[in-house]
Amino acid sequence: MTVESTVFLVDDDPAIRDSLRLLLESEGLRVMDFATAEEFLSHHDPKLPGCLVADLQMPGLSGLELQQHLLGNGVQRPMLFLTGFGSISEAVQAIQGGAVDFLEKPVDAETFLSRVQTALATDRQQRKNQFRQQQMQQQFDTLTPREYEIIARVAVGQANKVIAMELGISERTVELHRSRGMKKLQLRTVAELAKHWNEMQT
Amino acid sequence: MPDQTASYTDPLSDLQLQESEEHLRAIYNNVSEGILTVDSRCCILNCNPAIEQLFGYTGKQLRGQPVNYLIPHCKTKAVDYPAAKCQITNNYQVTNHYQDTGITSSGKSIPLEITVTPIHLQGESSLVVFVRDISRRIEAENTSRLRLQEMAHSGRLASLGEMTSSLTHELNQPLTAILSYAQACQRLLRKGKLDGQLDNALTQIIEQTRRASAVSNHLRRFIRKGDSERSAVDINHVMHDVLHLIYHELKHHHIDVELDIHKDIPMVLVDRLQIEQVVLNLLRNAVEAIAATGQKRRELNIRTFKEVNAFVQVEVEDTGGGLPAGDIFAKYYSTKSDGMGMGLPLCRKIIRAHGSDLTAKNNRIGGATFHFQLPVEPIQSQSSR
Repeated sequence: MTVESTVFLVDDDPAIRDSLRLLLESEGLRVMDFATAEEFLSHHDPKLPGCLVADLQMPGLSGLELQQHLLGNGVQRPMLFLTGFGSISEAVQAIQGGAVDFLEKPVDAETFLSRVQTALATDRQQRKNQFRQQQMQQQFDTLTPREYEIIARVAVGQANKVIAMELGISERTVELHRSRGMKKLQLRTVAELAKHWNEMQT
Repeated sequence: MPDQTASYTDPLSDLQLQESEEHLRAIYNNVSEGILTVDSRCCILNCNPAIEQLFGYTGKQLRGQPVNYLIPHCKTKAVDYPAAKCQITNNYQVTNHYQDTGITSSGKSIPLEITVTPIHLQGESSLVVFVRDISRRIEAENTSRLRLQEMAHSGRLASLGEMTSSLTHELNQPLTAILSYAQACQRLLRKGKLDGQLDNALTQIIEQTRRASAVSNHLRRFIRKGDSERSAVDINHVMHDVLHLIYHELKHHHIDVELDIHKDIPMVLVDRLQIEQVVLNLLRNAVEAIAATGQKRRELNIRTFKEVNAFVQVEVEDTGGGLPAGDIFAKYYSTKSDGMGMGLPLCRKIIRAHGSDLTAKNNRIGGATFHFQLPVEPIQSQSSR
């Protein structure tokens, strides 16, 4: 998680690209810019952390279509859209599609940069959660089938006594598998387990 | 010398002469056109009552006066019509037809249409000058021209209203860039990190300011309310100006424009504002027609070329859905939900006022083509420009 975040900038107007790049760089941000949504997609690596800043009205693939394309491929990258006058309905669609925000051109530097920072923070948070979930998944994978069976029941709030009865084993055996499982998962409380279990189910 | 009498009809009898004279006198005295007889020195020999009425002088006051007394710039010099010519023109009369201005006894100017016919009187080359007051006709022409001008202006404002969003975008782009460059420089300056970037940023700010002002100039030039005046216009410039205005719409709908225009095309004598309006209407219609089809081929072809007659032909071809059923040139006919159906009727009116017609036909491979012709400016005035 040491890779620096990048702002992926997509706008068909070279002057807008160049000026926004300078603005982002003045904030110390790393920028990659693209003239079209197609160009961005052909170079896009979803693994690279960062956010997308795109013009809504572009020739070729529009901002909205780019968003649909990314969502369709399961890419969660936070998106910030820039709009011109009179494209509020498109902007609303973009937000409904999960964009972090939209800004009307011309954008003020302070507002723009703070929204970009928010988008980058969202991306970092998403990646952190994803990473944690992956780790957790790996830890769950180390459980034996019996341990998994019991941990799954504990996670949804079943008491040891109930589990023992339903599985037809002694309460002591349940307790044994449960504590081994919790140790493998590096979890201490049922509350922690329940939280991770829910995250993994989504 | 050839015997000219051979071509004359038989000599008339006295009675016939008398009747003929009476007949001509009745016409001379009652015709609404003014008739002046002018001698070789350009002085008035005689005039009819219509002249007296038109200019407010009596025949007695006018006799012997130079013709320029009534028509200051009159070109009726008998010497302009060689005596030899006058002799043969007893039957084949040379006439000269033109418009001029007369001055009445009260000093009022009146527009005149003048016809000059040379005759031979008592061995001298003289002229008969027919004078027609055309003030009413000119007034009517002015009224209808003004009305057309008003309509063209409202049509122009309506088109611009529809284009607000794309024109704002065109202005907003450079403004966005300018603001971002300036704010970026300010931030870098405050952090003490501004070095190499300043020169490029300033160059870009200048460039983008020019871009914005070009957009606003195009807009201002287009929105102005000019006089209805015909002048020598390069139709290709009109095409480029209008294309600038709709640049964003073309880009937004991914339409390729192919310009097949002849560089050495002659100037046309037109009302530029009105023709711009026609071109804008046709191009925007074409854009909308193409945008409405989901087709891959999205082309707008514009052709201008010189016709064999004294006209320049303009063609606008699109790859849209073709012409709808019904008379597209009829007033209030519209296929657009927000259309008023005034665009094409107005365009046709404008083109007809320029002595041609606006027509439309479907292309064989889809889409429609609109064409019209514009009158070429006569060479003389081109060189005097």
